[in-house]
Amino acid sequence: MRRIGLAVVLTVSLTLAPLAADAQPTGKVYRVGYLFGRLCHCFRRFHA
Amino acid sequence: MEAFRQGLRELGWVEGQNIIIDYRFAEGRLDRLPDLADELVRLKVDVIVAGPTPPAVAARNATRTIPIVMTNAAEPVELGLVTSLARPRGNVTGLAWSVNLEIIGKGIEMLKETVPKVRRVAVLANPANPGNVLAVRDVKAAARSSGVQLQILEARGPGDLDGVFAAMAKERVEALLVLADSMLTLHRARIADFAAKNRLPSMHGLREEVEAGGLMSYGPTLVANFRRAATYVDKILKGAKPADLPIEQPTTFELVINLKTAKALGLTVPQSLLVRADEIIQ
Repeated sequence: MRRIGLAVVLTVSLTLAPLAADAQPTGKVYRVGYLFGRLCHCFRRFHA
Repeated sequence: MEAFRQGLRELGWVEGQNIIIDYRFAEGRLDRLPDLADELVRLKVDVIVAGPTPPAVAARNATRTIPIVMTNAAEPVELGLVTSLARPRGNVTGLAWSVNLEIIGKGIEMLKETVPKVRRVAVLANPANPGNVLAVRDVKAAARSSGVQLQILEARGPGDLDGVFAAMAKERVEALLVLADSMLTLHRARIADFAAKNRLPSMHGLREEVEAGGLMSYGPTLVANFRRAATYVDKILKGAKPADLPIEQPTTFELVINLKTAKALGLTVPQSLLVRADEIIQ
Protein backbone atom coordinates (compact mmCIF):
# COMPACT_ATOMS: atom_id res chain seq x y z
CA MET A 1 0.00 0.00 0.00
CA ARG A 2 2.88 2.32 0.91
CA ARG A 3 4.50 1.54 -2.48
CA ILE A 4 1.29 2.45 -4.32
CA GLY A 5 1.13 5.73 -2.39
CA LEU A 6 4.74 6.51 -3.26
CA ALA A 7 4.07 5.75 -6.94
CA VAL A 8 1.07 8.08 -6.94
CA VAL A 9 3.07 10.89 -5.33
CA LEU A 10 5.91 10.42 -7.84
CA THR A 11 3.54 10.34 -10.81
CA VAL A 12 1.70 13.47 -9.69
CA SER A 13 4.99 15.26 -8.99
CA LEU A 14 6.44 14.38 -12.38
CA THR A 15 3.23 15.45 -14.12
CA LEU A 16 3.02 18.81 -12.38
CA ALA A 17 6.73 19.67 -12.45
CA PRO A 18 6.83 20.88 -16.09
CA LEU A 19 3.62 22.85 -15.57
CA ALA A 20 5.13 24.58 -12.57
CA ALA A 21 8.24 25.46 -14.56
CA ASP A 22 6.13 27.14 -17.28
CA ALA A 23 3.67 28.85 -14.96
CA GLN A 24 3.77 32.60 -14.32
CA PRO A 25 5.35 33.59 -11.03
CA THR A 26 2.34 34.05 -8.74
CA GLY A 27 1.47 37.14 -6.78
CA LYS A 28 3.82 39.70 -8.21
CA VAL A 29 2.71 42.13 -10.89
CA TYR A 30 5.69 42.86 -13.13
CA ARG A 31 6.40 46.21 -14.78
CA VAL A 32 7.64 46.33 -18.34
CA GLY A 33 8.95 49.58 -19.80
CA TYR A 34 8.32 49.97 -23.53
CA LEU A 35 10.48 52.57 -25.27
CA PHE A 36 9.75 53.20 -28.91
CA GLY A 37 10.89 55.71 -31.48
CA ARG A 38 7.46 56.82 -32.57
CA LEU A 39 3.83 56.40 -31.60
CA CYS A 40 2.62 53.30 -33.38
CA HIS A 41 -0.59 53.75 -35.38
CA CYS A 42 -1.78 50.41 -34.01
CA PHE A 43 -1.45 51.88 -30.51
CA ARG A 44 -3.56 54.88 -31.49
CA ARG A 45 -6.20 52.51 -32.84
CA PHE A 46 -6.10 50.30 -29.77
CA HIS A 47 -6.56 53.18 -27.37
CA ALA A 48 -8.84 55.35 -29.46
CA MET B 1 3.53 46.59 -31.15
CA GLU B 2 0.20 44.81 -31.05
CA ALA B 3 2.16 41.69 -32.07
CA PHE B 4 4.28 42.14 -28.93
CA ARG B 5 1.23 42.39 -26.70
CA GLN B 6 -0.37 39.43 -28.41
CA GLY B 7 2.84 37.45 -27.88
CA LEU B 8 2.74 38.29 -24.17
CA ARG B 9 -0.91 37.24 -23.88
CA GLU B 10 -0.13 33.89 -25.51
CA LEU B 11 2.53 33.35 -22.86
CA GLY B 12 0.08 34.08 -20.05
CA TRP B 13 1.01 37.70 -19.37
CA VAL B 14 -2.15 39.78 -19.17
CA GLU B 15 -1.90 43.56 -18.88
CA GLY B 16 -3.43 44.79 -15.64
CA GLN B 17 -3.40 41.32 -14.10
CA ASN B 18 0.15 40.03 -13.81
CA ILE B 19 1.95 42.64 -15.91
CA ILE B 20 1.87 46.42 -16.36
CA ILE B 21 3.40 48.02 -19.42
CA ASP B 22 4.66 51.59 -19.15
CA TYR B 23 4.76 53.03 -22.67
CA ARG B 24 7.08 55.81 -23.69
CA PHE B 25 7.07 57.09 -27.28
CA ALA B 26 9.53 59.61 -28.69
CA GLU B 27 7.15 60.39 -31.57
CA GLY B 28 10.05 60.68 -33.97
CA ARG B 29 12.04 63.11 -31.76
CA LEU B 30 15.14 61.13 -30.98
CA ASP B 31 16.43 63.85 -28.61
CA ARG B 32 13.61 62.93 -26.21
CA LEU B 33 14.80 59.34 -25.84
CA PRO B 34 17.38 59.80 -23.02
CA ASP B 35 14.77 61.45 -20.75
CA LEU B 36 12.15 58.81 -21.58
CA ALA B 37 14.63 56.03 -20.83
CA ASP B 38 15.54 57.69 -17.52
CA GLU B 39 11.83 57.84 -16.63
CA LEU B 40 11.52 54.08 -17.08
CA VAL B 41 14.59 53.51 -14.90
CA ARG B 42 13.09 55.72 -12.16
CA LEU B 43 9.89 53.67 -12.35
CA LYS B 44 12.04 50.64 -11.48
CA VAL B 45 10.59 48.51 -14.26
CA ASP B 46 11.63 44.86 -14.29
CA VAL B 47 12.58 44.89 -17.96
CA ILE B 48 12.76 47.49 -20.74
CA VAL B 49 11.74 46.67 -24.31
CA ALA B 50 13.36 49.18 -26.64
CA GLY B 51 13.45 49.57 -30.36
CA PRO B 52 14.54 50.22 -32.97
CA THR B 53 18.20 51.35 -32.74
CA PRO B 54 18.03 54.81 -31.09
CA PRO B 55 15.69 53.70 -28.26
CA ALA B 56 17.86 50.62 -27.66
CA VAL B 57 20.96 52.83 -27.39
CA ALA B 58 19.12 55.27 -25.08
CA ALA B 59 17.97 52.43 -22.82
CA ARG B 60 21.48 51.00 -22.67
CA ASN B 61 22.87 54.43 -21.75
CA ALA B 62 20.26 54.80 -19.01
CA THR B 63 20.91 51.52 -17.18
CA ARG B 64 23.46 48.76 -16.94
CA THR B 65 21.39 46.69 -14.51
CA ILE B 66 17.75 46.56 -15.67
CA PRO B 67 17.39 43.89 -18.41
CA ILE B 68 16.81 45.37 -21.87
CA VAL B 69 15.14 43.52 -24.74
CA MET B 70 15.94 45.37 -27.94
CA THR B 71 13.71 45.05 -30.98
CA ASN B 72 15.06 45.66 -34.46
CA ALA B 73 18.30 47.32 -33.34
CA ALA B 74 20.89 47.59 -36.10
CA GLU B 75 24.32 46.05 -35.66
CA PRO B 76 24.26 45.76 -31.82
CA VAL B 77 27.85 44.52 -31.58
CA GLU B 78 29.28 47.40 -33.63
CA LEU B 79 27.24 49.89 -31.63
CA GLY B 80 28.57 48.47 -28.37
CA LEU B 81 25.19 47.32 -27.08
CA VAL B 82 26.46 43.76 -26.63
CA THR B 83 29.79 41.99 -26.84
CA SER B 84 28.60 39.19 -29.12
CA LEU B 85 25.37 37.91 -30.62
CA ALA B 86 25.78 34.44 -29.15
CA ARG B 87 26.63 35.62 -25.65
CA PRO B 88 25.56 39.22 -25.10
CA ARG B 89 27.12 39.28 -21.57
CA GLY B 90 25.67 42.60 -20.29
CA ASN B 91 22.04 43.55 -19.59
CA VAL B 92 21.00 43.69 -23.26
CA THR B 93 19.56 40.96 -25.46
CA GLY B 94 16.77 40.66 -28.03
CA LEU B 95 16.41 41.01 -31.76
CA ALA B 96 18.79 42.59 -34.20
CA TRP B 97 17.73 44.39 -37.37
CA SER B 98 20.86 43.55 -39.39
CA VAL B 99 20.01 45.17 -42.68
CA ASN B 100 23.46 44.64 -44.01
CA LEU B 101 25.27 45.09 -47.28
CA GLU B 102 23.51 42.10 -48.83
CA ILE B 103 19.99 43.36 -48.05
CA ILE B 104 20.72 46.93 -49.10
CA GLY B 105 22.42 45.63 -52.25
CA LYS B 106 19.29 43.63 -53.09
CA GLY B 107 17.17 46.73 -52.58
CA ILE B 108 19.28 48.73 -55.02
CA GLU B 109 19.21 45.89 -57.55
CA MET B 110 15.40 45.70 -57.34
CA LEU B 111 15.22 49.44 -57.95
CA LYS B 112 17.47 49.02 -60.99
CA GLU B 113 15.41 46.09 -62.22
CA THR B 114 12.36 48.36 -62.21
CA VAL B 115 14.15 51.42 -63.58
CA PRO B 116 17.10 50.04 -65.58
CA LYS B 117 18.35 53.47 -66.68
CA VAL B 118 18.67 54.81 -63.15
CA ARG B 119 22.14 56.15 -62.35
CA ARG B 120 21.71 58.91 -59.79
CA VAL B 121 20.11 57.77 -56.54
CA ALA B 122 19.41 59.99 -53.53
CA VAL B 123 19.76 58.32 -50.14
CA LEU B 124 17.69 59.82 -47.35
CA ALA B 125 19.13 59.14 -43.89
CA ASN B 126 18.86 60.44 -40.34
CA PRO B 127 22.40 61.02 -38.98
CA ALA B 128 21.02 61.07 -35.42
CA ASN B 129 20.16 57.39 -35.88
CA PRO B 130 23.29 55.29 -35.29
CA GLY B 131 21.75 52.50 -37.38
CA ASN B 132 21.43 54.85 -40.36
CA VAL B 133 25.07 55.91 -40.03
CA LEU B 134 26.13 52.28 -40.38
CA ALA B 135 23.63 51.68 -43.19
CA VAL B 136 25.05 54.60 -45.21
CA ARG B 137 28.41 52.85 -45.18
CA ASP B 138 26.74 49.71 -46.57
CA VAL B 139 24.78 51.69 -49.15
CA LYS B 140 28.02 53.22 -50.44
CA ALA B 141 29.61 49.79 -50.76
CA ALA B 142 26.53 48.35 -52.49
CA ALA B 143 26.38 51.30 -54.91
CA ARG B 144 29.97 50.74 -56.00
CA SER B 145 29.13 47.25 -57.23
CA SER B 146 25.79 48.35 -58.70
CA GLY B 147 27.22 51.19 -60.74
CA VAL B 148 24.95 53.90 -59.32
CA GLN B 149 25.96 57.34 -58.12
CA LEU B 150 24.73 58.35 -54.69
CA GLN B 151 23.68 61.63 -53.22
CA ILE B 152 23.55 61.18 -49.45
CA LEU B 153 21.04 63.56 -47.89
CA GLU B 154 20.61 63.93 -44.17
CA ALA B 155 17.58 64.96 -42.14
CA ARG B 156 17.74 65.02 -38.34
CA GLY B 157 14.18 66.21 -37.99
CA PRO B 158 11.12 67.17 -40.03
CA GLY B 159 12.46 70.74 -40.29
CA ASP B 160 15.29 69.46 -42.50
CA LEU B 161 13.02 67.77 -45.03
CA ASP B 162 12.26 70.80 -47.21
CA GLY B 163 15.99 71.48 -47.62
CA VAL B 164 16.58 67.84 -48.50
CA PHE B 165 13.78 67.90 -51.07
CA ALA B 166 15.24 71.07 -52.62
CA ALA B 167 18.68 69.45 -52.85
CA MET B 168 17.20 66.39 -54.55
CA ALA B 169 15.36 68.50 -57.09
CA LYS B 170 18.50 70.57 -57.77
CA GLU B 171 20.67 67.50 -58.33
CA ARG B 172 18.04 65.91 -60.56
CA VAL B 173 18.25 62.51 -58.91
CA GLU B 174 16.45 59.68 -60.69
CA ALA B 175 15.45 57.53 -57.72
CA LEU B 176 15.23 57.66 -53.96
CA LEU B 177 16.39 55.22 -51.30
CA VAL B 178 14.92 55.91 -47.84
CA LEU B 179 16.70 54.28 -44.90
CA ALA B 180 14.61 52.82 -42.08
CA ASP B 181 14.25 55.46 -39.37
CA SER B 182 11.46 56.41 -36.95
CA MET B 183 11.47 60.09 -37.86
CA LEU B 184 11.46 59.42 -41.60
CA THR B 185 8.68 56.87 -41.22
CA LEU B 186 6.64 59.33 -39.18
CA HIS B 187 6.84 61.76 -42.11
CA ARG B 188 6.35 59.12 -44.80
CA ALA B 189 3.38 60.94 -46.34
CA ARG B 190 5.48 64.07 -47.00
CA ILE B 191 8.27 61.99 -48.49
CA ALA B 192 5.87 59.99 -50.68
CA ASP B 193 4.19 63.21 -51.80
CA PHE B 194 7.53 64.73 -52.80
CA ALA B 195 8.53 61.55 -54.67
CA ALA B 196 5.20 61.51 -56.53
CA LYS B 197 5.40 65.19 -57.53
CA ASN B 198 8.97 64.75 -58.77
CA ARG B 199 8.26 61.38 -60.41
CA LEU B 200 10.87 59.58 -58.31
CA PRO B 201 10.69 55.81 -57.89
CA SER B 202 11.56 55.00 -54.28
CA MET B 203 12.89 52.03 -52.31
CA HIS B 204 12.23 51.83 -48.56
CA GLY B 205 13.19 49.66 -45.62
CA LEU B 206 9.72 49.63 -44.09
CA ARG B 207 6.42 48.55 -45.63
CA GLU B 208 4.45 51.36 -43.95
CA GLU B 209 6.20 53.81 -46.25
CA VAL B 210 5.01 51.88 -49.30
CA GLU B 211 1.49 51.82 -47.91
CA ALA B 212 1.82 55.63 -47.75
CA GLY B 213 2.72 55.83 -51.46
CA GLY B 214 6.36 54.73 -51.79
CA LEU B 215 7.12 52.42 -54.70
CA MET B 216 8.58 49.38 -52.95
CA SER B 217 10.16 48.15 -49.72
CA TYR B 218 12.47 45.32 -48.88
CA GLY B 219 13.49 44.42 -45.34
CA PRO B 220 12.91 42.21 -42.31
CA THR B 221 9.36 41.42 -41.26
CA LEU B 222 8.89 43.59 -38.20
CA VAL B 223 5.75 41.93 -36.86
CA ALA B 224 7.56 38.61 -36.39
CA ASN B 225 10.29 40.35 -34.41
CA PHE B 226 7.87 42.08 -32.05
CA ARG B 227 6.19 38.76 -31.33
CA ARG B 228 9.59 37.19 -30.63
CA ALA B 229 10.41 40.03 -28.23
CA ALA B 230 7.61 38.79 -25.98
CA THR B 231 9.38 35.46 -25.56
CA TYR B 232 12.50 37.25 -24.31
CA VAL B 233 10.44 39.22 -21.78
CA ASP B 234 8.77 35.98 -20.65
CA LYS B 235 12.11 34.27 -20.07
CA ILE B 236 13.59 37.23 -18.20
CA LEU B 237 10.57 37.60 -15.92
CA LYS B 238 10.91 33.92 -15.12
CA GLY B 239 14.49 34.41 -14.03
CA ALA B 240 16.67 34.12 -17.13
CA LYS B 241 19.61 36.50 -17.42
CA PRO B 242 19.85 38.64 -20.59
CA ALA B 243 23.53 37.75 -20.81
CA ASP B 244 22.57 34.10 -21.36
CA LEU B 245 19.97 34.74 -24.07
CA PRO B 246 21.53 34.82 -27.56
CA ILE B 247 20.49 37.63 -29.88
CA GLU B 248 18.34 36.59 -32.82
CA GLN B 249 18.75 37.99 -36.30
CA PRO B 250 15.86 38.40 -38.73
CA THR B 251 15.08 35.31 -40.75
CA THR B 252 12.13 36.52 -42.81
CA PHE B 253 12.27 39.39 -45.27
CA GLU B 254 9.42 40.86 -47.26
CA LEU B 255 9.12 42.67 -50.55
CA VAL B 256 6.13 45.00 -50.86
CA ILE B 257 5.32 46.75 -54.14
CA ASN B 258 2.82 49.56 -54.66
CA LEU B 259 1.48 49.10 -58.20
CA LYS B 260 -0.70 52.19 -57.88
CA THR B 261 2.45 54.25 -57.40
CA ALA B 262 4.20 52.42 -60.24
CA LYS B 263 1.30 53.26 -62.55
CA ALA B 264 1.34 56.92 -61.49
CA LEU B 265 5.08 57.04 -62.28
CA GLY B 266 4.52 55.36 -65.65
CA LEU B 267 6.62 52.36 -64.63
CA THR B 268 6.08 48.71 -65.47
CA VAL B 269 7.29 46.54 -62.62
CA PRO B 270 8.93 43.47 -64.19
CA GLN B 271 7.22 40.12 -63.72
CA SER B 272 10.43 38.77 -62.14
CA LEU B 273 9.87 41.16 -59.23
CA LEU B 274 6.12 40.75 -58.99
CA VAL B 275 6.43 36.99 -58.47
CA ARG B 276 8.87 37.61 -55.61
CA ALA B 277 6.63 40.17 -53.89
CA ASP B 278 5.07 39.21 -50.57
CA GLU B 279 2.42 41.86 -51.03
CA ILE B 280 1.28 43.94 -53.96
CA ILE B 281 -0.71 47.07 -53.25
CA GLN B 282 -3.13 47.63 -56.13
